[in-house]
Amino acid sequence: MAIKLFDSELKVMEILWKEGDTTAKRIAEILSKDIGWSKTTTYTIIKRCLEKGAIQRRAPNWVCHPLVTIEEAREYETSELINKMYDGAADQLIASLLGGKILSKEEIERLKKTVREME
Amino acid sequence: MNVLQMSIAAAILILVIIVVRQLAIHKLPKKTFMILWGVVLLRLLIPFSFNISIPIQSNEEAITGNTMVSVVEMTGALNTDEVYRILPRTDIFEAVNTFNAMLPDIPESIAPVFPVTTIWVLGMLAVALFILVTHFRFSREYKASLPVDNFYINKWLNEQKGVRHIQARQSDKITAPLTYGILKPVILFPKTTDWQDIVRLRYIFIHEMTHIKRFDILRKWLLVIVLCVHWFNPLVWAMYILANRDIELSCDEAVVRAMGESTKSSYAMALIGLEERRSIFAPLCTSFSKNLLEERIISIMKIKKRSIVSIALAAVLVTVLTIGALTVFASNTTDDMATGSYDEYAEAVVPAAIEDTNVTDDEVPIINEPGNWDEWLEWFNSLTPEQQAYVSVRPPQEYVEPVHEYPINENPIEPRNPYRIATSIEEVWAIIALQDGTIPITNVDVAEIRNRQVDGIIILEQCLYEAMDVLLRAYAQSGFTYATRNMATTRVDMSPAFEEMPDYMKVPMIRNEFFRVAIEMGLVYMPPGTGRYGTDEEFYRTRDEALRLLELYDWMFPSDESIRESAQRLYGAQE
Repeated sequence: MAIKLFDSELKVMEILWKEGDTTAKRIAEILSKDIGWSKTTTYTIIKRCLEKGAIQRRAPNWVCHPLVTIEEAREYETSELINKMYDGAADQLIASLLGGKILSKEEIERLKKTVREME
Repeated sequence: MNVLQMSIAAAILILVIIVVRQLAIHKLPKKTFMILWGVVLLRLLIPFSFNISIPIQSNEEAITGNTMVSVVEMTGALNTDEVYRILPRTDIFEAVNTFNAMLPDIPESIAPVFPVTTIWVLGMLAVALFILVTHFRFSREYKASLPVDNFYINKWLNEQKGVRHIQARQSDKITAPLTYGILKPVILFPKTTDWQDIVRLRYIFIHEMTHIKRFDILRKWLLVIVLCVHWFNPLVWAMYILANRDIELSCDEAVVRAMGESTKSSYAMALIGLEERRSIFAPLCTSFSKNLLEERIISIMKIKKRSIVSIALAAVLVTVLTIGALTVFASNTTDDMATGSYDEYAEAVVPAAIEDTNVTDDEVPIINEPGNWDEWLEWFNSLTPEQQAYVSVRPPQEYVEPVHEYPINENPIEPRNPYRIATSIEEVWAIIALQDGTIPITNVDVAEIRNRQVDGIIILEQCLYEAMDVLLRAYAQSGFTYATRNMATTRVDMSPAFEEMPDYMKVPMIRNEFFRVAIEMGLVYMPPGTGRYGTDEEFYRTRDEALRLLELYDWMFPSDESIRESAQRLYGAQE
């Protein structure tokens, strides 16, 4: 599932991923507290997520339910990054992560383990 | 002045500024252009012209020289529209209302450009709608931005003093930093901002802070309003684009001045860096903004220490253009007769009429202060009717009342003093305008005037007395020969020039004539023969005198029973 989600939409999704199904009113409350959005702004963004098919509204209470999982969203963002910055070559991304010393030793070990398991 | 005239007057100014901008954009302080655009905005938004007429007159006339200005002010408020609006409000002018009913087709004749107005309003709405829709669409995106949590930006924001709470936010929908909000300003960074590049971040921050401090968004809104109103004027569009650019240039200049001139090249580099990012994501909108950026970079690199010469040059430029905008450009536009003041209107009518009758200025003798009224009348009667229409009237100072027979009534009625009649017309004008608050009163104690009420009418004597001469002249020029020759008989004689006037010009004329009659009915009184006001006791006509004048009025307007009745009621009540 490839849905391009903007930062604002991801913000709404994050809440759903964290809190599970949530009413729009509750989302608005949380976002108002955390990042100072008005209720209108939040509802606009929720509407966009609905239109994109990233959210579905369900009974009871018409709660918002995420149709996109956090993994799917991450996968999309990652492939976007790889395509844009690494000419579609995922190994280069890994190389860049290793070279940039962003990863700790433990993280690298865990990665190696994952790669071995998938082979 | 209507919108079109304002627009044309401002267009000249805009052209001048564009030329100056082209020639000296990098030589003058950018603030100069801010001020100049400000003057244009005022010119485009405020529908007043400041007429500075410098009267060139003989010695005798010099006494009344200063009244020229006050009369223009006074009459300026009394264009025909104003008069229509004011009249029905005043109970005492019920009679005038009835008279209004006798003048058909007035709105049409005054506003003959109805379809043009409709198109203008529709265009204005269309432009406003387009801009507002675009604005709200964008501002919806901006509102859905996320807070920025950057150590330096937080630090810089905390250092800011001021009432307004300023936020920094980020969005993945924009490619260059921007600021929005007037009361709660937000600096919006693109998500792609390099948050590690503190130097560039600092430049961006200061640039946007400068926008906030100078209320540049308010300026942009003003520009938008002007654009909506003057959407039909291509030069206003040019101004809109250039003024928006100059806001940026002026802001850049302020940043470089604040941070020191040595920073200008790195500041310029920071801008170029931003542009690179922009061009990656939005290649379609670079062609235009590239020129813009070039202008900005060159302008930044050319910022020098303010030299005395450039400041002086700027000061002269601003002064000259401002004065020009308020006077020269204004007077270019005052020849509209329907909307101009009475004075302008009279002057505008005359030359056209003179051409028709082949009377040149040289042929019309002007006498000032005739020693003797009879001599003056004799002289006046020796003129051709065309000439009479344009005689400048200077009533004698020592007026000896001629004895006249009242043509119909056997009862001898006090001969009319032309001076008194003419003055009273002005008086009613001023009373109406004063009640409406449209006349600025100079040199007159308002409270004192308010205390002197006659039948609820406020007398504004000083103001009027000063204004009298100029207006009398305007009268004579605009075709009311009665104002000079026939006033002794209180008959309304229209000169040929008046007969030839288009209807929309006749209307205010007739109206004034009616005012004159209203005075004859005794609403306002001035002791005969003096040309000046008497004591307070003399201010009031007796009932008998008023009734005699009513008879006279009957003779003049035999069919108009209702006016008579209301006037009688008025005087009955007074008793």
